[in-house]
Amino acid sequence: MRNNAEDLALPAWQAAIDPISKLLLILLFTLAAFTAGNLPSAIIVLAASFILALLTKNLHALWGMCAFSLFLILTMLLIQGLFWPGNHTAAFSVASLTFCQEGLDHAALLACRILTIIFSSSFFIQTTTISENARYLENSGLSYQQVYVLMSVCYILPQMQENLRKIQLAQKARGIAPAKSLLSRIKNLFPVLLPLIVKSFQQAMNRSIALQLRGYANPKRRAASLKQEYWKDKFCHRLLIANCLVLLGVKACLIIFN
Amino acid sequence: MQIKIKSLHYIYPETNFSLDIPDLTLSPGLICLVGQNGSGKSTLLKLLADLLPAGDAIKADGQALSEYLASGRLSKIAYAFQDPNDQLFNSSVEKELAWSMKQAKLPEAEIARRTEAALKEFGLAEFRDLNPYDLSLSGKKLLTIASALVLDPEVCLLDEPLMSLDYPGRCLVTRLLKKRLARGKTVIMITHDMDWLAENCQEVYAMSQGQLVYHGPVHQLFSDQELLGRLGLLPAKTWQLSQLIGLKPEVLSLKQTGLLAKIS
Amino acid sequence: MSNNFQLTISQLSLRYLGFENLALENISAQSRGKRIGIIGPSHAGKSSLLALLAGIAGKMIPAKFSGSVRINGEELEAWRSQHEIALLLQDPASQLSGLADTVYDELAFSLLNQGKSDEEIESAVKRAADQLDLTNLLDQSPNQLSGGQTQRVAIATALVTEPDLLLLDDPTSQMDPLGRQHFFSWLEKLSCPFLLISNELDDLADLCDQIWVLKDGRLLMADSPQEIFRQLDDPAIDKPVAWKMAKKLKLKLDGRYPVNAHELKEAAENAN
Repeated sequence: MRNNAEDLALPAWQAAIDPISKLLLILLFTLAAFTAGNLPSAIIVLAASFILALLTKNLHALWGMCAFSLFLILTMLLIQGLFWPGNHTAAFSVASLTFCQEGLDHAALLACRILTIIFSSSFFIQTTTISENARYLENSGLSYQQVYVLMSVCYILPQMQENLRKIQLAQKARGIAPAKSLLSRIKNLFPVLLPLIVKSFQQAMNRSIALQLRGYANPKRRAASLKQEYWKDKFCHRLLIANCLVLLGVKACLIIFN
Repeated sequence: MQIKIKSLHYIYPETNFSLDIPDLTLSPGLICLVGQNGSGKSTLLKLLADLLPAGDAIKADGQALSEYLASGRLSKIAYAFQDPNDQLFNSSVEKELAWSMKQAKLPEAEIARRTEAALKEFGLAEFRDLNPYDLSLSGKKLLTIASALVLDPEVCLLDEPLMSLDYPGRCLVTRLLKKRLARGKTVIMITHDMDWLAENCQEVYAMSQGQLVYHGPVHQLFSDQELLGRLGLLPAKTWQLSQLIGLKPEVLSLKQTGLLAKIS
Repeated sequence: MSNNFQLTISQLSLRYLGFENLALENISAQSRGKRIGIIGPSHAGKSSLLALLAGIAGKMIPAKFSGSVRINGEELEAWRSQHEIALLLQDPASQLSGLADTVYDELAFSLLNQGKSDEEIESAVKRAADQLDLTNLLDQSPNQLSGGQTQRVAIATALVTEPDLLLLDDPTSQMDPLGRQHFFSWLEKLSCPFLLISNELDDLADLCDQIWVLKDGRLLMADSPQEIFRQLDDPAIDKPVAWKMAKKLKLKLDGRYPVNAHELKEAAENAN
């Protein structure tokens, strides 16, 4: 999610879709990916989610999100290709290792599902801001405390990252000896983890106190007026939820009748 | 130890902020860095501690800084960060003081001796078994400075050491820094405290937007209104007050005020 | 916002649960005037006093206290339910909600909590922004501000609700000198009563009607700045630079040393 509304120069149609609909889209694509039982259908779902992600025109951020999952995908291809229980048809060999078709197909299917989730999430993350989400959720009936707890992950993580960076530097300055063994690597984590946990906790406490002082739990509180007009948001929610239920039904049938 | 900086050009990866210092020599003694928030003071301090890579641009006693610090780092350079919460993690004040010396692989007897001495010097003896997080902010700050000074490094890099200290803490740190300076050590510190600067520092280095814009005597900096405005600084209160009451020349410090009173 | 302000503390003691020592011990004081400065070394109980007044100690942080605190004759709890107290913490960044897109939204947050309408919010935000020179920053993201700007936004979030009492816990410790000067000149124009913890003794001696001196949880003195620095002789507590200069130059005013710039100037003029 973006923090700054200025960064977002969205096309009108992207801005007109409300945040909950965008979240339901992620659910829909995820269910579609898991309902697709074979590689060709999973690739179709993947392609659809990829087109959705491309519409945000932020390839750099998209690549960033994929990149961290690539290692996982490669590991899966390796392990499933070599060791999956259903393996019996050889696909190719590297040195003395034989990769099997069934395992590779299975890994590819899993990879499609992971990437589908990433691409559909990317649409949500690139086209909403934390503030817009908070505003919409509160207007939809959640209490501000509930909204705050849900949204807090969005700013706590960057804050912890920033803290981690400072603390690592501080401990490097104090002379953490470069780790040689696994045991010493684990020992080296402690001087960083403890200040990180304590500092992050203290910041969270301070913020909580400040918010209470500012009256966020006040029963008189009203939700901020929506800045954006959304296109038929209730209709979209119902449509998307209905589609999700259909997919769940299809998956249930596929499981029962297979 | 003499530090020479030549053609230092550093760019912060996330913000593209750049620090540029063409030529600078830092000799042993007290070096004070001033400037607005975001002027590059902390960045320079981190480069001097080899916490950020400077390549060949920084040399210590003729060697590239990273090579110079490759062995015996902690006896050469120690760093105390602005926020003590970034550094404290041991379960007691005593262990916290001893930790860096353990990393430096000093002999046990030496660690015990120095820890005892530091606890006394810094007035932390009664808190020796206390968890550092239970100290006040001023106490935590004292502890992080003590943890740096206990290594007895050639160069001590302190990021705003006076911030968050109460009055007794400030007096103590000032006294202990002077003791080290008297032994020929180097202290490079960032500070916003213009009165402390005026009282204790002969020369000051001022930074703005990643560049060193002034290096010279404190009173000359205070006389330059335009430069002070650009740097977002004010002269020391003694200076401002002596201007207000028409003392000429303006007085830098209370020591000077005393001398002036004796003369007149 | 009331123009009368009378804070009466009687035998107040405070202990945080889980700690043996008292954070505040048997404090009795009566305010004079609207502007109270609080000074003292660390562990003096200064932050604890503000925490108690704001309702943090005892409610958000478990603590037990005895004695009484009255504002304008009413018990603290009762006064707080009918009036607005704003507390400014030391760390300005944690004052902000973290969920606002713009500085405007951040300032509006406190007012939404009070159920104010959009029109009321707009006029209050514009007024607070004007007071703290934030009008040009209203459309910017709070995450992209400099340290000094963040501090001003934090102050504005406290001011925007037009509090009846403002509590400030060392708000200038991280500011640069110019920022500090702007802060104190702004504080001078403020009309609501405040209690301010600070180490900037010259500014406190200039601005405050009364200074309370705390040490180790106890109240050493509560009096005008002039009387405090005339009588106080504690090595743990500093004195204003104006006082120290006047002492070296042997400049007196009404038989005592001046405590701020104005008095120093007057003493110097009298001497000539």
